[in-house]
Amino acid sequence: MICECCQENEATIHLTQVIDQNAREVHLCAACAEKNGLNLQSAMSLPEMLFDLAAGKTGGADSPAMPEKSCAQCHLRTSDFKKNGRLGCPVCYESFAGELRQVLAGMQCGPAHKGKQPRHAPPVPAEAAAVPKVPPPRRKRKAAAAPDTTPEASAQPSTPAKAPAPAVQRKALERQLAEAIRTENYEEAARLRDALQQENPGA
Amino acid sequence: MSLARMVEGPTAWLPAGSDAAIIVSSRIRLARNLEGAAFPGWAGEAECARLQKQMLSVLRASPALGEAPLVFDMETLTTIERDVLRERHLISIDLAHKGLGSGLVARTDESLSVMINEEDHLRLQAMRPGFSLDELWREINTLDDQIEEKLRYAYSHTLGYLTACPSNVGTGLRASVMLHIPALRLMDETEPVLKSLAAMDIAVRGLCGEGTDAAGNMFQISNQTTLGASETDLIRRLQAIVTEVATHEENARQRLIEERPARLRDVVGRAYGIVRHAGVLPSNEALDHLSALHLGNALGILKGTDIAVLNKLLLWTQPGHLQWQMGRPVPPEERDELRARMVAEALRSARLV
Repeated sequence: MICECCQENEATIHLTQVIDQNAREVHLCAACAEKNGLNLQSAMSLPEMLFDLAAGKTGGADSPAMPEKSCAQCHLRTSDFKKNGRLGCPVCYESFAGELRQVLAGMQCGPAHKGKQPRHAPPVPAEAAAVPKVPPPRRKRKAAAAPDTTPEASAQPSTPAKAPAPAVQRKALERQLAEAIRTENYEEAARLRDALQQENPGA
Repeated sequence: MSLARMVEGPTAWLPAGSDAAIIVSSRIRLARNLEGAAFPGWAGEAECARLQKQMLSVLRASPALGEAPLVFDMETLTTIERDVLRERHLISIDLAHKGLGSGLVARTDESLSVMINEEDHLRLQAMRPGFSLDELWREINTLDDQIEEKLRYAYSHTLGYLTACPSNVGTGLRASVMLHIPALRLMDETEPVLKSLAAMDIAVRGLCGEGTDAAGNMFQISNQTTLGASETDLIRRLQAIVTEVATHEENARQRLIEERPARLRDVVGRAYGIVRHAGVLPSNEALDHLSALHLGNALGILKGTDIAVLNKLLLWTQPGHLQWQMGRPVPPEERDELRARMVAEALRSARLV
């Protein structure tokens, strides 16, 4: 396939652009993709997508860039984290606390630590560490029973169906988004990102 | 004890006995970092080397790691040695690519070890054959306590143990169980089972961890999230799900015998024919055939060999171990020939019934 832009080189980059629910395939060569401002390394990374969500950015080349922040301790910049998905030092968790809240909501099952504490940490009330608090993901019941029709499958434990609370719904969407990015299903990822934006317009 | 002595012995994860277990092995790792220091990926090699020294002196003195633990400096290891450590599940692919400032400390039986300056300053790991997450948690927790007496961990009240990647923050715990599930594949049920796991917050990986495919029908399943639940809750949830998957495999084995006996015989027979007569055997192909023979042995249609032999082949046909045995770097084409000969020889007395 020939690059749509220069009409000369072989297209090696195939993107699906989603604008107002309409998907369009774009085929470019590496040089043209770069010329068009596509940073392929970080374009689809999960931290970047979530960071962008935190900043209320809608995605695409036209949206304004996020203000660049850096960690007071180790000088890691927002862009470094977006590129590598790794923080620079323990203090980064404070330096980027706002952005990380969104990242953690997409990756983790709760906002706060419930596990072991090192001895040097001051003690916290005992009940706080002992309560189980993993809310079952919204898709659990459906996904566990639907794909399999064998007798064994229907014997799987299932949770009673409940209308998902908005926060639960959002978390499920975020998890689906992470999964879609992981499996490189970018069309689905874009759709989920838009759905998340609608769920949470103030983000 | 030297690396040579260690490699001659059994690994900490592959069962040495003759039990054709669906649940092959269990593993727990804890990610920990030092207070006030940049994470390894951001610190630079010189700083990593400085921290490595500090951590090494503490680890050498940790009773949980044994009197004289094995200590490796990544900078001085050959490619083959790195491959061997990776195939024994002592180091990750990431650590295998590192040099100055990173290393490994392991108890001589390999069941408890610490990767130094991988993605985090410390990655504690405990592993054992079989389904043994509770014991592993006790062991790794003890080692963690011993380290914490000497080093100050980066920790926050709200976010727990702080890690380089936010996906590990909180407990820093990843518990994983390796399952051998060939019958689910033959009953065409692997995909739906694995898909439902993904929806339950469970990560599925191949034989050799992150970024590898599921050669030989071996899958590692582990908790996806680390923040918001306690260590024991994370472990309990995984135990319940592993039990569920193992039951599925057991049922699939039963139904395979009853509903698709010809398919079972075909797969085991083909694997038998190939490993007995192939002249060239690539490593992933070998894993798939060994998996089929494993199943054949468990279901009584392959005799004259033993699960222990098959498990040994599983390890020694991998590129690192194969080259270690030859005592020299061996190009891939030659490895495939050597592997074919090694497997045929080891299974000379095996027969289909």
